[in-house]
Amino acid sequence: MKKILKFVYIFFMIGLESLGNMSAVMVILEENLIKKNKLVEEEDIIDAVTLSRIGPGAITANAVAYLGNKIAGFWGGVLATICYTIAPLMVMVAIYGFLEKALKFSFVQSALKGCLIYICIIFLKSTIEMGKGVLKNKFCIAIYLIAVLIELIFKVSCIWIVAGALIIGIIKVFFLKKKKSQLYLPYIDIIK
Amino acid sequence: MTLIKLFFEFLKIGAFSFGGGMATLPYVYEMAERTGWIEETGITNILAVSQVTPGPLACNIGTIVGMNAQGIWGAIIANIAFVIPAICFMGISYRLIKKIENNGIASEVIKVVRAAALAMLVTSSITLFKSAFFTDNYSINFKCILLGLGIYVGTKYNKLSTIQLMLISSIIGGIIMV
Repeated sequence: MKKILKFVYIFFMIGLESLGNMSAVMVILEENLIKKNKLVEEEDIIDAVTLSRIGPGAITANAVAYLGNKIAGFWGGVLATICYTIAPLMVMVAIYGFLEKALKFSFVQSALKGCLIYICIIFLKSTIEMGKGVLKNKFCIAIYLIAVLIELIFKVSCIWIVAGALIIGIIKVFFLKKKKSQLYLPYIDIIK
Repeated sequence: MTLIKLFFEFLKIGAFSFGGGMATLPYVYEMAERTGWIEETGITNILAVSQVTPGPLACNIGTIVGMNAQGIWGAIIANIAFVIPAICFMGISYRLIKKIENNGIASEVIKVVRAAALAMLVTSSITLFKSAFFTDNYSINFKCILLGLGIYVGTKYNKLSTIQLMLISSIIGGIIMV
């Protein structure tokens, strides 16, 4: 019971803190799930983000559903997503009446900018962490750079990037297998 | 009756909008025209507002449209309907990933896909950085950079929680940039 309450609390807080777009929310997920509670790993967050871009609906809600699945199975996913949406719902209902007026104050706007800068800094830190985990060999670094270039120049949809990486990965695995077997042959000759 | 209609409208948006918050907008505009639950200016206002409120854009739209249509229960129903497809899709795809993860070949492929995913993440954050550190006419905002450096040093040496740090930086930002 205590575990369930903690789970609810964690995802409620994630919902409350999740300002901005996916990159910002990813930071919040990392802070809460990896650094504070050690429930998932870096790779899980990357998988969650990738899959949730492909899937339908809000990206951040998808990512939360995936991570909930990872931590506590299907019902974990259901509970996590519901907890995640409750906090924004409450905030939105509370400020329903006077929100548009509040936005006109310049203090509010620059305060929001301060918040955004904080998110940027944390984002930088956590992407560097992720990069250390993911970009372990030259091949992955090459794929990373190519994907960045393609994304910047052609602005293609993320589905095509993922599909392309998938195909390249499959080709690479089979290509390397052949290479390895060729490498082993001389050794076998020596032993003989 | 309105609640049921609201439920199915948002279920549809949740299931067919691929590509995140902005991809839901065409459906929302179409729905607004058909049902009259919200006006076009209302949607534009939500777009501005949802930059500063927690939660995904689509959920915020759901809350406002639901509130307009049927009060608080409308908001709750719209939110639930919107996340049902996400829960189902992720539940299934998580199991699929689990199945192939321990396979040697598949895990090699997944490593490559992860590298590309990281690239997507980095490029998608460009707009975030642009709106944080640059002014509207593409010159660098030095106050923001200064605040950024301050925050970097601050996060290195103390153990405050995310929400506390967020509050502190927004207050400082509000004071120095007014």
